[in-house]
Amino acid sequence: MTLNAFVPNAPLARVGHRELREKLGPTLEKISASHAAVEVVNRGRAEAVVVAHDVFAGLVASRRELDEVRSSVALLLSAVSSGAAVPSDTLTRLGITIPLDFDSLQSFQASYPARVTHDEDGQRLRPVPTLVLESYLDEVDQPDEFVDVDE
Amino acid sequence: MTAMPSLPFAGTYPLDAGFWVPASDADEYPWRFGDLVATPESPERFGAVDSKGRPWRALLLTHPSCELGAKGAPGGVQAVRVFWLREVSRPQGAEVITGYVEVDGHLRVARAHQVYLAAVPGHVKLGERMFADLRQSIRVPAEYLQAAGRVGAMSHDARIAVLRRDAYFRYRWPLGLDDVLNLERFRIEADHNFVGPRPQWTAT
Repeated sequence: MTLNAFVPNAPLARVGHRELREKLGPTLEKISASHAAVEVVNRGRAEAVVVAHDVFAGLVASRRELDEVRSSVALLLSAVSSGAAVPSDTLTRLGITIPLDFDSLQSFQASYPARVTHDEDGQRLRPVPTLVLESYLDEVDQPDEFVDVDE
Repeated sequence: MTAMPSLPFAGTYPLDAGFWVPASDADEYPWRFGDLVATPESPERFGAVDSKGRPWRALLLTHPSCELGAKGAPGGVQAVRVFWLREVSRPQGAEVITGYVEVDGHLRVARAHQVYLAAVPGHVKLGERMFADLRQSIRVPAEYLQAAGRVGAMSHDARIAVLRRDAYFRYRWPLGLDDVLNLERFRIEADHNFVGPRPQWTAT
């Protein structure tokens, strides 16, 4: 994980517009190799931060992780306040025990739009592509016949 | 332009009360995917028995709706085994009810092959919570199922939930509830032979 190169609140290396323009190739190679971040400044004002591609990917993944955890925490808080014993590893580890009542749980799950993001083995689910329903309207449910084939 | 009505639930399954068509109305609904059927006579003929030879609790139809009754079904109608929910541990039962479990801040699919089923109100044997096991499938000739009888006609809303579950189990498509709703709405609106009351979320 290349995010280790970041130290929160630590000052970033800086490069000016002109220097970046003149030494673009070597600067980018250096950033990519070091997995560090470099602040691009123009007349003393920070305008951008350039990071290696893998670092950027890590930041995006972290943001996604945070969104998912936030979503799960919201679900757990709602479940706890509703008295619904949602199956939860986190609640168990925190020692939060809710009496298991199937009526409450069934009612809760029906009302809560849970966002399932991983499969049973903990692998991330990939989003389903957007479906377009228009191509075979006139073809569905036409009468057909079974043909028994002797094998 | 008026927005199309949506589903009355946002989670994995509808409320128990919305799972089955009321018995008084069930005759208006033809047999469809998701209906609950009593285990037929001579269940051993179709493999509808457990390892000790005891009949399954019931069967959930997984046959395509448009093929049920209207067309032949070579080899029989597809169905899967139904258990009482109390046949598994309470923690597992909770996972069946939600269909997910939280681990390390993420929600994971839980029990992908198991589909929660509400109790059928007033039914002596199936008047308690159940689940279907999509892994345990059989085929039964339609006439045997008809003789055994339908116990519960699945509501259009619950069918969305079960189709979504089936799509994930069978193809590992993690479809959203709205995705499945749109697909089923599309299918029904294109079905010129649709029989029985229509879902409130389709155009008439």
